[in-house]
Amino acid sequence: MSQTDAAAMELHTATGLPNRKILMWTFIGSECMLFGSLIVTYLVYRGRSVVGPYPEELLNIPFITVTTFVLLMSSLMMVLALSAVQRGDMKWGKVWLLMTAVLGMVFLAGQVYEFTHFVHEGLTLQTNLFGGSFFLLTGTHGAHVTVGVIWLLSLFFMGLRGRLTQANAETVEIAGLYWHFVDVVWIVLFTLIYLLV
Amino acid sequence: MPALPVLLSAVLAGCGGPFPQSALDPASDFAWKLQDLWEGIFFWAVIVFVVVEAALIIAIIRFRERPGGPKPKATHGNTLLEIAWTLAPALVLVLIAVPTIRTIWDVDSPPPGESMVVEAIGHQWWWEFRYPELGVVTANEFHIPAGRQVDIRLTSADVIHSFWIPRIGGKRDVIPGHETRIWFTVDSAGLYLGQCAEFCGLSHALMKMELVVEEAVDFDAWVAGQLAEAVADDSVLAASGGQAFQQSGCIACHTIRGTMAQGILGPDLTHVGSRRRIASGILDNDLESMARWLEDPQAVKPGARMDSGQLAGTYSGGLWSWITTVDHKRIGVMYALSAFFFFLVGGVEALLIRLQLGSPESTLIDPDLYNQLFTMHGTTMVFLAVMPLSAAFFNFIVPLQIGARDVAFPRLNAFSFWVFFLGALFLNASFLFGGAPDAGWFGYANLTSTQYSPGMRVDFWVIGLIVLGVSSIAAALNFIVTIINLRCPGMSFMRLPLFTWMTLVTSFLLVMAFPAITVGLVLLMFDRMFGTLFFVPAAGGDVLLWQHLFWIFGHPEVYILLLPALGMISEIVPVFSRKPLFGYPFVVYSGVLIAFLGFGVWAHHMFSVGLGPIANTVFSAATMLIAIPTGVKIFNWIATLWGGSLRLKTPLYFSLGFIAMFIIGGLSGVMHSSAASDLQQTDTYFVVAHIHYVLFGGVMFALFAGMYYWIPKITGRMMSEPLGKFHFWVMLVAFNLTFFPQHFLGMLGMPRRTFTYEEGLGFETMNLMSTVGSLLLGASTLIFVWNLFRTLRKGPRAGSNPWEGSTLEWSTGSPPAHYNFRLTPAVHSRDPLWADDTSDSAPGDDPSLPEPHMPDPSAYPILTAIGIVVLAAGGLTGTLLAVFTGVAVILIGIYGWAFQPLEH
Repeated sequence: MSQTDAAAMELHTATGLPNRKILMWTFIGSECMLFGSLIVTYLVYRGRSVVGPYPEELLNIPFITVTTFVLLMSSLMMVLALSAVQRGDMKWGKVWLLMTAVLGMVFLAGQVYEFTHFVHEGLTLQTNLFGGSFFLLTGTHGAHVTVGVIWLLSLFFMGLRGRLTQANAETVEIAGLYWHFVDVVWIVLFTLIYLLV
Repeated sequence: MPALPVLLSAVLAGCGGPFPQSALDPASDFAWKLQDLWEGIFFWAVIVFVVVEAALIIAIIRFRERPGGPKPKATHGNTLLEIAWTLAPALVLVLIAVPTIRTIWDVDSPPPGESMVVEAIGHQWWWEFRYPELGVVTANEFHIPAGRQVDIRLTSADVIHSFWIPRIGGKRDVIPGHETRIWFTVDSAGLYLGQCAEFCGLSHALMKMELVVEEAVDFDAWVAGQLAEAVADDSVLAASGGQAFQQSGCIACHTIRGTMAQGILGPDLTHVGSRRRIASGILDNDLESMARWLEDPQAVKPGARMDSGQLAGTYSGGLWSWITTVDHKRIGVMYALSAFFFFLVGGVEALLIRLQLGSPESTLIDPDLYNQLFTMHGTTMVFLAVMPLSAAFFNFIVPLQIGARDVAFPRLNAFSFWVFFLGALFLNASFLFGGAPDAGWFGYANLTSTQYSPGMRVDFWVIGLIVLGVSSIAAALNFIVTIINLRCPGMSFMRLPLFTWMTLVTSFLLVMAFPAITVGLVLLMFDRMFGTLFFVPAAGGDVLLWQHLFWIFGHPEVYILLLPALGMISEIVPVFSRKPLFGYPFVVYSGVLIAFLGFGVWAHHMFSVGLGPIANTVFSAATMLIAIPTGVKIFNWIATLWGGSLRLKTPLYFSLGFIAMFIIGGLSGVMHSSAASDLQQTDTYFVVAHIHYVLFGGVMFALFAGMYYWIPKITGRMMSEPLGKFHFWVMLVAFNLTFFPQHFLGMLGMPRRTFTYEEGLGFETMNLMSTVGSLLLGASTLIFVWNLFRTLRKGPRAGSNPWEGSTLEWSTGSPPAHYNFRLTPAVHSRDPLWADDTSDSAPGDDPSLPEPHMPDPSAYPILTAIGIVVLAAGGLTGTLLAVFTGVAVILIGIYGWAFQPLEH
């Protein structure tokens, strides 16, 4: 949303918190239920596949550890971006925003590589329950990362055209809330899917 | 009036005996356990019913307004009373819970001692019975010896069925990929009728079975006969029949031992001649019926695998201003009009259902259409009528009640409406493209798989509900932020009007519950469109996962429908009693508690699944707990009436009707909370009666109360009182005539979702009553429509506060100006407009003040909503072009939206 939006909204709120921040927090609560349901589906179907390939034959933990690290670093970039915008340092604000988006894209590239590799090894959506629940769960997360990358790039291009200023710090903060949430979800997925295989 | 159902129940219970499929006439140890339990619960239900309805009636008579009478004293509550009426229902529930838990452990534990094992396998649409110890295989009719314990092991060959012989005992679901069991001893010889009790597709109504209980000697003779090879008699007819059988396709599916027919897809026909009935118990076993069955099986049992022919106002501006509006009041009106339209559509679907069931073996509507009708009736009433009708009130009333000029995100609000409206049209478009969804509003897996539900019908349902979920979540997020953040100065949480409070609680339920069904729907969509295996038992998929995901959403959904209604009643009762709401904090907290508990009770929809005694006990107890906060609300309403000066206007009529009817639905709900007792009631017309007492007698009465109460505010004109009261009485009588008999239909053994029933089971009279009632119910709605029409044309002017209400919406004009309040009001109490609280500055619409700036209209919300529906249509038909177009339109919509300033 644009700055006029934000300015108009913040005039009088009963709690003093910005409307959009409460919206994002509530939305994250709803998203927890979404990922929770998908995670439960994955866990319920763990070990129930009647034909291979099975998770232990495919999952490449060292590789995913690297992409997980990349995603975590993107959260750090996000923190730096917000801090720069709040200071009014728009130059570094743009740099960090772009870095966040780029690291997000590196993570996505890793996921594309992983999916392609699995398909080559004979695991598709239709192969077994592992295939269906794995692709759906990690794919839903990947879709969320994609939305985040588009959002961050939009903010970056707004910055390039000079439409992102210190007054928009809240807009960047809300994008950051979303981005950190998506990261936290990945920590949970990384633990449950890869570490507890 | 409320005495009528009691009288009726006494009369009808007396004649519950001789019907062959009646749950009220137990014949096994299992059935007796459930019957004893149910009778105990019924006893308490009657006592609570009499006490509460008596208190209600006394209050209505004693405290009606008398001309010149004194103004009632404003009591605000009494903690001792609150404790008393929290403990009283808790005590009753303990008295119910103890025998419930005892019975659950009794009927859910493995059979004690030795028993004869019978394997029952459910097929679409017949029953296979195997006796592994005796080597007997038979179909649809099975025999057991009297006095001997029998252990039935249940499995399914295709979709979920449910084994139910009402006189023998409650249901046990028959689930692909699971083995469930039920065990019992029948002491007296006789014939016991049963039928499948879980909706399992087109001919679910025709999946019957018969149990013959006989003395040991007769049973042994029967076994010996079954083990012998088939013998044909010497008649020419038999010989030619045998020849035709062996030369046709019959042998591919059926077995006759001793011949070359060794098929396993259909029933074993070795001793078909020994059975009483054929075609899974729907036709007598005689030459004429056999000929009818063989000539055209599809006419007798549609969809059966056996082929036919084997052998043979202030709102000015045009349409564009409505399409692009972001005004919460206009959006509210659009929600109301479209929801009421879909309420009529769902009502017509219900009437067609009732016409079909008005007489036994009616052929007015074929099972295919019937299944579409009941699926769409449920889906429409829940998602397209009641939820958006509540949303209409959220939109129109909540910002006014909290003293705000609009919602927090006006354009998101318009987006929610358009997604709802277009999604609803999308869902109903299915009628034009190969038929509407037909797998039930609950869509149990794996009946919804492409194997058992081919075509696009279920795809319409899956995608339509995902789209509607987007709308609901977006609207709920908006209302949460609005209520938390846009309250006017002085409007603390404990001063929020009850309707606003319940809107807040409902919105939280929506954002937390909808993701679960969305995930379930996505899993199903992937199964149907991309060939995943989530609900394919053969690949390890678990069909029960769907039930869990659905009901984790589905039970909170009940409170999503109910809580706004409870909020409306809590607004209307005080205003028309001229007394503040009794026990305000208790009414608020009980609403919050109901919502919390609502998330922990989903498996009470799954008591017949066989989750085991521990799960059933926990979910029984959790469900019973909900009765306590619900009871607290009812007591507080009666205490609000008590000592008041009741102005008996139409809104109060409907509110009192709500309390009187809702208590009946609540009490039958307590019966279902008892897992063991529920085994006789689940999936029968008893439950149909229960949900309609809660959702029609409850929610719809409250929504009508709300409409009569707030339509003067919305339109600026008063509705006709005589017509309103006429509407109320016709609706009350018709409603009870329609739904009260259905309790008995259920107990006499009529399962839900069956398109037909046989004569002689005792279902005829009450079905006819119900059908007549439903037609009257439809007529009562027309009275309302006429009243509304008349009001809009020549209703008298309402003025800003026609009911002398106490909350802020009554301080603005009727209808309110588009900016609601020129000056943001400030409040200092819960009832800012009442004389007692004159310290408040009654916030008015001072014309000397400038008009506030309001957000500009925007076309981007509807554009984004169109993109979503185009994407949905692309997904439905597998058209990539439409998918990409949809995504592109959504992106254009979102970017346009984000960069368009809110106001110029």
